[in-house]
Amino acid sequence: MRVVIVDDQVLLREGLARLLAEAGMDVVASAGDIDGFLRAVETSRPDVAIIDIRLPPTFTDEGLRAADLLRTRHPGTAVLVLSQYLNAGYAFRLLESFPSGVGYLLKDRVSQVAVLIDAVERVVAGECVVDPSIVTRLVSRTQLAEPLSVLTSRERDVLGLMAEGRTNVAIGQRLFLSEKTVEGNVRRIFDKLGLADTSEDNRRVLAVLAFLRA
Amino acid sequence: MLWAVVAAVLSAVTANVLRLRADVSFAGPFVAAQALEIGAGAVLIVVGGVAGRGWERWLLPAAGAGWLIAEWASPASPGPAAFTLGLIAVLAAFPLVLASRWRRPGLAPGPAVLLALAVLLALAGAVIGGPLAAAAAGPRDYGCSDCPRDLVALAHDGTLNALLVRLGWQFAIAAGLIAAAWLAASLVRAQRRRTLVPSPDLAADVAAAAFAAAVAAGAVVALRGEVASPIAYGWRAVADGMLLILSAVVALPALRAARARRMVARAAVAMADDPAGDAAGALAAALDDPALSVAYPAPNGAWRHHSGQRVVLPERNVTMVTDADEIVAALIHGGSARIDHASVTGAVSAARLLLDIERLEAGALARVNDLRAARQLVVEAADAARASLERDLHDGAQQRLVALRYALGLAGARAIRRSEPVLAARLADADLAAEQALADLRELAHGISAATLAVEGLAGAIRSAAEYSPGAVTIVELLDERLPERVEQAVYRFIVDTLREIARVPASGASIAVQRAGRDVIVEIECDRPMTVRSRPADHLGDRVAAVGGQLEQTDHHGRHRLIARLPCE
Repeated sequence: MRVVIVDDQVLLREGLARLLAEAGMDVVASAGDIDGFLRAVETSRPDVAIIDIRLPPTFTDEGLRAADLLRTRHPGTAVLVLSQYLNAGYAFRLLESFPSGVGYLLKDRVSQVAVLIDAVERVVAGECVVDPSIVTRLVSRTQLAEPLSVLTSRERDVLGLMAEGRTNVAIGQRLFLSEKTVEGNVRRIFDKLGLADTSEDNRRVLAVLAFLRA
Repeated sequence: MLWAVVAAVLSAVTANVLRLRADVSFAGPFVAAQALEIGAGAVLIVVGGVAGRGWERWLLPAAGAGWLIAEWASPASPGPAAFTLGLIAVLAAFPLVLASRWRRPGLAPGPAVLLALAVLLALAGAVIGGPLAAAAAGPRDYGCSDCPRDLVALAHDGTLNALLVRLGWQFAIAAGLIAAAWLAASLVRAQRRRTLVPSPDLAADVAAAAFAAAVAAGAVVALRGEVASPIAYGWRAVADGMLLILSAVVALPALRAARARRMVARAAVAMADDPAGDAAGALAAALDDPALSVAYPAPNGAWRHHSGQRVVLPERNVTMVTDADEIVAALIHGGSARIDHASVTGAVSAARLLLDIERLEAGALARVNDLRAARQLVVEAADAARASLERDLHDGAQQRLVALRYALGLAGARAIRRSEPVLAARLADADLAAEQALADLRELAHGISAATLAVEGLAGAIRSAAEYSPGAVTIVELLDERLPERVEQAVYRFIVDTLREIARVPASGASIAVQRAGRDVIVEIECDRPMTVRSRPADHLGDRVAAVGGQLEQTDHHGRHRLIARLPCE
C-alpha cells in the first residue's frame, strides 16, 4: 500500500510514518504544504493520502482543499483527513463532494495500528470513514432524544455504525449479527426515521449524518 | 412698535394736509400718488427702525419722516410749528437716504469718495433750501397770505429766499449727478473685478442712486418754475417707488432671519419627539444648506461634533458663535452655498440654548466614545490573546501529545509482535492516559478561539459550538450571509460564552436564533432555567456586545429566560 503524508509538523509526520511502516505500509513521500503534497502525488502515485486538515498558510481548512485538488486530479486515490478537532460540518463537506474513499478522523485516533490499518483499508476499498466521536456527539444531543426514541437499542447501535461509514457486513461482524439481520435493521431504521432508503452504502452515510445534524 | 406709532402719526398728519391742500403738495392732486408718497415714507420709517442695521436704524426713519414732513409746508399745516418743520425738512430725506448707503459692506475707496461728495452736496442743498431759506423769509413774505407763521424767519427778504431755494435745488441736482456717478463707478469697478453679483446691497445702492436721480430730476423741473406740474409729480412718484424698493431690500434680510429663527425654534420643539434631531440638522434646514455641520470646542484647541467625534475646522466658510467672548460653537457651511449672514444670525439666535446643550453633550459623548474605544481595544486584545493561546495549544502541547500517542502506539504494536504481553498492557495504559489528557486539552482548547469561524462563517461555527456544548442546544435560525469580521467575532463569542454560562446550570437547555433586522443582527438565546445575568460573567457578555456598539437586553417572562443582543452591522 503506497501512502503519502501531509502535515506541517515534522514530529507528527515522522511518528505517523513509523506507525504506517509498522503496519506494513509503504510511505512513499511526505510533505508539509499543499504544493509539496501535489508534487509528491504526481511523482509517487500513492493509493492513499493522509492529510492534516490544518496546513499553511491560514491553518484553517487547507487540508480539505488539498483533498479536493487531489480527488479532482486523481479520482482513484483514497483520502484520509486527520484533524485535532472534529467538526461535523467538515465531515459533511468532505462526504458531499466525494461520497466514497474518504475518511475524516481525529488525529490521534490512528495511533492504534489496528485502527490505522482498518481506516486505510476501508478508504482504499472505497468506503467512507467517519470518526466515531462525531457520531457519538451528534447522537447524544438532547434534541435527538425524541426522534431516536422510536428506535430499539440494537437499531440505535446499527444507526451509529452506519453513520461511521460501516458496511452491513462490518456492522454484522461488530454486533455479531448475520448480514440479513443487519439489512432488516437498516430497513426498519429508515422506515421509522422517514429517511429515503439508499442501498448504496456511501450515500446512506450522508443521509444518516444529515438526519443527525438537523 | 414705537416706529409704527411714529409712522402712523406722521402719516395721519400728512394725509390731512394733502387732503386739504393737494394743489400745493409735492405729490400732486391724485389720491393714488398721495397714498404712494405717504406709504413710502411710513414704510421707510418702520422698516428702517425695525430691520435697519447700524446707522440705517436712525437714518432711514429720519429720511422717511423728512419725506412726509416736507409736505407740511402748506397752508393746511396744523400750526406754525409743523409748518416751520415742513419748511426746514423740504430736502432733508435726500442726504439721509444717500448717507444710509455709507455703511454698505464692500464699499470701495473710489466710489466711497463719490458717495461722500454726493452726501455733502445733498446735505448742503438740504440746509440751503431748507433752514437757510426759511430763515431768509417765510412764505407770508412772498405772497402766501393764508400760510402759518414761519417761526425761524430772521429776515423777510423774499428775493434772498428765492435765491436760496434755487441754490438748494441746484445743489440737489449736483448731488443727484454725483450719486449717479457713484453708482456707475461702483458697478464698473465690480464688473472689472468680477465681483458684480446681484445682492441686497447692490439693489439698495441702485434704489438709493435712482432716488437721488429722481429728486434731482424733480429739482430740474422746479428750477424751470414747474413745481406744480404733472412732470414734477411724476418724478416725486418715481422717488416714492425707489424709497419703497429700498425699504424692501432692507427688510429682506430681517425677514429671512426671522424665518430662519422660526424654523430653528420649530425644529427645537420637534426634537422632543425625534431623538435623532440635533442643532446641525435644524440649522441646515433653516439655512437651506444641507452640508452644514456644527463643531463644538474641545480642550487643546480641538473641535468635535455633537456625537463627540473629532473634526478639523476648515479655513473658510466657518461662522463662530460666541457668547460673552467665549466660543460656543462653529458653524461649518457647505462650500457651494453663499452664506447669508442675516439668516445665520437669526438661526443662531434661536439655536443658542440648543448649541449650549449640545456643546456640553459633545463633551460627555466624547468621553463615552473614548471609553467605548478603550473597551473595544480590551476586547480585541483579549480575543487576540485567546487566538494566540489556542494556536500555542494546538501547535505545542496537543501536537506533542499526539506524537506521544503515535510513539506509544508504535511501541505497543512492537511489544505485541515480540510477544511481550505485560509490556504491551503497560503501554496500553500509558496510551489511555495520553488519550485522556489529549481529550481534556481538546475540550479546553475548543471554545478558546474560533478557527472555524473565519472559514465557515457564523452559521457553521455556531452549529459546531452547539454540537460541542454539554447542554441541549436547539438552533432555531441562523444567518447564512457573512458579516464584518468583528461582528461575527462578537456574535460568536457572545453565543459561546452564553452557552458556557448556561452549561453551569444543571440540566438546562437553550435555543439560539440569529436574525437580521435591517442594519442590525439580533441574537436571541432562550434558556429554560434562569440565567444569572447580574453575575460578573454576564457583565462580560454585556461588555462584549457593547464593545461593537450593541445592546444586551434580558427578559424573564413566564419561565422563559431570554438574552437578546442587538449588534449594528456596519
